Amino acid sequence: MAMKKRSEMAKEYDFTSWRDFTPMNISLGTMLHNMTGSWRFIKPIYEDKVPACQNACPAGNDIEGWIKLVQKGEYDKAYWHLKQEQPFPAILGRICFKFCETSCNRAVLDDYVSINELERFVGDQVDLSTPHPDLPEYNGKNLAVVGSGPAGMSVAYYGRLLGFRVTMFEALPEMGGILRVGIPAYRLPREVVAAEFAGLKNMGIELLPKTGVGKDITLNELRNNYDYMFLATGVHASMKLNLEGEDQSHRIMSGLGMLKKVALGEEVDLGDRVAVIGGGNTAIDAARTAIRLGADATVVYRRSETEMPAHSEEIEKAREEGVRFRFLAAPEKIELNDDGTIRKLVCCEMELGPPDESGRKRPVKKDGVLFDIKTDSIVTAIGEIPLFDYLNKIIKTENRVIEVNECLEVDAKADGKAKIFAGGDIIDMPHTVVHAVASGKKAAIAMDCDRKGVEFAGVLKKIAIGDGPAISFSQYMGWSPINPVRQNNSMVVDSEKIVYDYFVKEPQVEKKIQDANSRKGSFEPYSDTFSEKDALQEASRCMHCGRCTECDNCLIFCPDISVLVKGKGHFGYAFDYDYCKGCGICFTECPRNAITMIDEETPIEIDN
Amino acid sequence: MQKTFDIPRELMTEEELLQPGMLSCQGCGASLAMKLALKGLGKRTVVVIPACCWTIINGVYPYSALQVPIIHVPFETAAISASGVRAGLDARGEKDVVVMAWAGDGGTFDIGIQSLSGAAERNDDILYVCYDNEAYMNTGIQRSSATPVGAWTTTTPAGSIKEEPKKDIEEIMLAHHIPYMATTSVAYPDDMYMKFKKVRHITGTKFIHLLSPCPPGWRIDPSKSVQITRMATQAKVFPLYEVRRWRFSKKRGRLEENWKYTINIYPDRELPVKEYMKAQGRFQQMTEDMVNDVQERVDRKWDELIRKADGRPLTPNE
Ligand SMILES: Cc1cc2nc3c(=O)[nH]c(=O)nc-3n(C[C@H](O)[C@H](O)[C@H](O)COP(=O)(O)OP(=O)(O)OC[C@H]3O[C@@H](n4cnc5c(N)ncnc54)[C@H](O)[C@@H]3O)c2cc1C
Ligand SMILES: Cc1ncc(C[n+]2csc(CCOP(=O)(O)OP(=O)(O)O)c2C)c(N)n1
Ligand code: SF4
Ligand SMILES: [Mg+2]
Repeated sequence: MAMKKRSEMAKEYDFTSWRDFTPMNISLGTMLHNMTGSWRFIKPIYEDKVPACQNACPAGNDIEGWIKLVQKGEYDKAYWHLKQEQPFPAILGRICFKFCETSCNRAVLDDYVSINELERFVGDQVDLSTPHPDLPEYNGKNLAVVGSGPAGMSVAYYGRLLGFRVTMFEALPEMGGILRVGIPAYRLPREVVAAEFAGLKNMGIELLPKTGVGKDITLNELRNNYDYMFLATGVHASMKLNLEGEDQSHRIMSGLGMLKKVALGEEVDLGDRVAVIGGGNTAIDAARTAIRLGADATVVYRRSETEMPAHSEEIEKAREEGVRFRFLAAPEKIELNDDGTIRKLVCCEMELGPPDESGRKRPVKKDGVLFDIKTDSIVTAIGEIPLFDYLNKIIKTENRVIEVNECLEVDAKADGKAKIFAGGDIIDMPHTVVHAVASGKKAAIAMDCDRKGVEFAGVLKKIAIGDGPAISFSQYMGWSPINPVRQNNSMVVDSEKIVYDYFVKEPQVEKKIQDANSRKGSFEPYSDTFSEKDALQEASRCMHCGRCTECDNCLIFCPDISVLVKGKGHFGYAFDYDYCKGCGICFTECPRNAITMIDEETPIEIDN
Repeated sequence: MQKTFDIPRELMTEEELLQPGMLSCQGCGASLAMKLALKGLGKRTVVVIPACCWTIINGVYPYSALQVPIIHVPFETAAISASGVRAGLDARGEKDVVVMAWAGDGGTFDIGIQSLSGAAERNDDILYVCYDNEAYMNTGIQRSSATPVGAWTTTTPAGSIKEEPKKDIEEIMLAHHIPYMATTSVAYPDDMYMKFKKVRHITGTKFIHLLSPCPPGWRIDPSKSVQITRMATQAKVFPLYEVRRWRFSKKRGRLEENWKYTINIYPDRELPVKEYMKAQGRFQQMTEDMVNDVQERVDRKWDELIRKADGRPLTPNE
């Protein structure tokens, strides 16, 4: 925006003798001719940066952006903005492990912002089956997605937004992968998953349940008929205890197998008492499901609680619901009755030794101390592994993962037509839904780069968010950010850059969760989405780290009157570099680090 | 939600009574202070400035950064010159014009105190502002009686540390029975705005003691000058409060004497004096014992202030 420069109004007077003086020595003009900008060696610029929460989110969710829209009551806009980087807020708003909240800068002041609850609120504001309002024409390339879990859903969503014609192949009768058949309905209602799929379908994505690749259709057929393929078949086989008798009883089953049966409406026979072996999320979900089926559940874990990979919140809820825990115990022997029922589970007492490769303390047997656990059934949840038979050895796997390069492209023999990518749990990556979603986004962009013949590595650098692995779809598309100001997508605003003096303590909005007694009898969700009032209250706690809110601090504190308001209809401020002395007070007093000091000589285009 | 400053936005965006091009150093609190003071006072103001940094900051004849009338006067004459301007304006019937003497701490605590005392005792209708940067900065950082214990200046260098506490100018001024006395600081712009707006409507001598950071004199980074000034208030080294002498009695239908202390800013957090001092180069020569003594004095004075501010009518001598 062009503003009239004050320096143009400067007037100079050339007095050569005292006779030129005004009567009474009255001054004639301002000091505007004295362009103090020449004193400067560093200069401030307005520059939005990456908030710590966004940096921590594997998908690079623009949390600050949509919270700003929530604060304005623009929920629809917030929903579509959120989906730019993370397409499934109603799902992840319920079951994400919340990497964002752990790094929320607000925690230094009082407590983190309940980002995940707000995400759920935003996800519930729009009918999930609404297709994206701005679908592009097809780009002439087709994409086969194998597996309908979150990784597949994500690649389908972004692939369609990039113009690919997408078909999704799923072996099971229901779409959604672990979201549908692993995570129990009390944590993630089936309707939410179904509605998301309705949305994908309405975007023109073809959904083919009951179509197992390697069974109903071969990998080679897909390779020859599609331009791109994305493999996201997850880890659905369970590791064995390797104990005698393990396969000889209908009362011994895998955790994921049991959850799947329950999810698909099949019978499971658990008896009255269940021993769940393992310490991960599957173990906890299996135990809590067993409780809901009316059984007594004990989780048997070979290390102690601190080493449990399961999310601590879930462990807490399980305990409240009556799940018992037996730590430092490992199954040693299974004794069966003649009818195949279980007589007893013999366990060995364990103790913790020095840390192993994972950094957790290694459990070691306490010499010969055995004890019995009386149980009617045994559910094993000591880890899931992939089933790679369908790959037909066409694709290289190692250590139970498919090897991929930086673009998530698979190293396949070049005798088929399709370029093959992979993501989610089958590649070397943390097993979480948000990581799976992130991999789908990345692969979609990589495919688009490939289609256009653009080098992905260069693009990756440009669209990387902060210092994390997350990348921005919105930047790839060239969509404009909410604040129309210069963006610095590599600088992260952590708590050290926040001026806490400017923030008032405000407790977190309380999350309303049903008490354990009422929740353990039901597969219904046990917590409600925030009310509008709660959402607005919680959203107001966001400090908008790294993003200008037009709070006026720079304007108020500039000692040299060199901050100018851009004026009606324009966002933010402009520095008057004719006079700014580069003192940096604006930079220090900006509560949220939306100003950067740069070397005077740095060539930077500033649009004032 | 962020704490924002309660200053009308129009005021911040309208044409400034102070124009840039000023000769103040980078990060100078004194130029910021003037900008904010004028937000409260408005256009109908005459500024009287004795020798101090502001003599320079405003620019050299025939230029003036200030867009209100300003008169440069000798070092020791800020208050009496303001009284004179007042008399002149009164003679012309321009009662609504505020006459503001704007002097440094040297000009106030030291050399100008006799003329200030005279004006205050006569209760001349002027506003006297001491922008206190805690030394004679304009002449290159010499000690004044406003310089705090332990602060380095060129006349209190390492080896001859200043041991005398800062003069208690607030109580000195209150001992003149003036109608209004306040402390304020550039770190709290809305506190400044509120006080400068308020004094427009009080007749008699008003005294405002304003803490104004000086990056070269305090040996601090210019970008930190507001932050460190805020620490002064948070650490209770420079509490922000105001004292009013009069109250309107409905019963009597006239003003009655009622000394009322109001603390305007309570610290948000516990901040030891040590932290405030550590942040500045000028205090680096202080020993731990000295810092502890300062902490004790600060705590005692804060307790006194709290006691005075609890609503009981007090006389300044109590
Ligand atoms: C019980 C449990 C609870 C969990 N809870 C959470 C949680 O709360 N939060 C969280 O973030 N993460 C959680 N996780 C982890 C998370 O669910 C996974 O990391 C994520 O689902 C992986 O997504 P994906 O798309 O790679 O695979 P999946 O979700 O496993 O989906 C793969 C899909 O591919 C299908 N498939 C497999 N082979 C073929 C084939 N040959 N042809 C066609 N289709 C095939 C499968 O049937 C399946 O539907 C949990 C995992 C489990 C097991
Ligand atoms: C009578 C007299 N003595 C000495 C001076 C020199 N002099 C000019 S400004 C100044 C220091 C002013 O210090 P202070 O009042 O604290 O203001 P600051 O410069 O710190 O803002 C001095 C000593 C003078 N101008 N007149
Ligand atoms: S010496 Fe100090 S008070 Fe004087 S202009 Fe510089 S910063 Fe301001
Ligand atoms: Mg001074």
